[in-house]
Amino acid sequence: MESLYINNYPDLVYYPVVNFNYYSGVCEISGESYMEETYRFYEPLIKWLNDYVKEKKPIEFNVKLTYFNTSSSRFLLEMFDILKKYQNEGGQVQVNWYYRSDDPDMLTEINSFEAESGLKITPFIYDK
Amino acid sequence: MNTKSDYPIKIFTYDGPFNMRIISSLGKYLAEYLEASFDIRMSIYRVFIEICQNVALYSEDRVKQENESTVGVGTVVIDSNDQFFRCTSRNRIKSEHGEILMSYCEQINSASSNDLIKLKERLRRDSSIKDNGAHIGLISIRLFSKNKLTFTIDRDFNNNDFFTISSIISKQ
Repeated sequence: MESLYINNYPDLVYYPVVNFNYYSGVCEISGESYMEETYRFYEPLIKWLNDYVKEKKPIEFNVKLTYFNTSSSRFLLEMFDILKKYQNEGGQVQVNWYYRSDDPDMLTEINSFEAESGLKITPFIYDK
Repeated sequence: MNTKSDYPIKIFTYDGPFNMRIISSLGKYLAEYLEASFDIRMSIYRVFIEICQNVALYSEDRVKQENESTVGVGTVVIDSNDQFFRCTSRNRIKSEHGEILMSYCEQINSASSNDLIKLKERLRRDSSIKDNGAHIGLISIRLFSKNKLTFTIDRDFNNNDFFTISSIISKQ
């Protein structure tokens, strides 16, 4: 299994940057996410996570998204579901979500994902 | 009586195909150049993108893109006065969708923010992963704007139905 790095569209802000590091177990998704045909973008991420948790290694999952559309949020929930299931089976999982202190709507989103997935999501404030 | 500062001034109007490159460029202009605090600019940006995606996905008028997929055609207007920014879109819809859209918007306007958050969570959980989620998008617009939606459906002389939706983001 290899790490997954996606930054194919640096000029297109509606594609996030993905850096899932197999060796360190630190996975990050950052930027914005509102592309067309969302499932084509997220399918490899879902597959990678499903393969990774089979290896029973710890994972730190960092979210640094500033905006995502409805269909992207469905895939984020899908990834959190995978991590929650892995945690329930004894896997070591840490999920962090970075947001700006002057962006209360993002904190609402984080709380919603936590409620929906049952997964502890630690909010971290960063300010530019 | 309206004073001059109450009268909304257009920031921009766009009329044409709503592909992501265009939506994104216009959205970035709003997010970066409007004179407003970060949280207000983010609210405008998020409302704008959600409203534009509704046109892109659900407008009955469609054009082909390079990859043979299609995007919706419609109009979006951003205007503002001293009190608010307003984002309005208009696009043709299937006649049978009019009542459904109206009932979604009425339901969204009559619910509290907390109830909408719960409804959004439930709809997201119940949706399939290939579902684009029009209903959730409308809920998101209402939650991001913190104001009720304004919406109408009108019919032209050729019996085409058009859906117009406005969302206001307060400046204070």
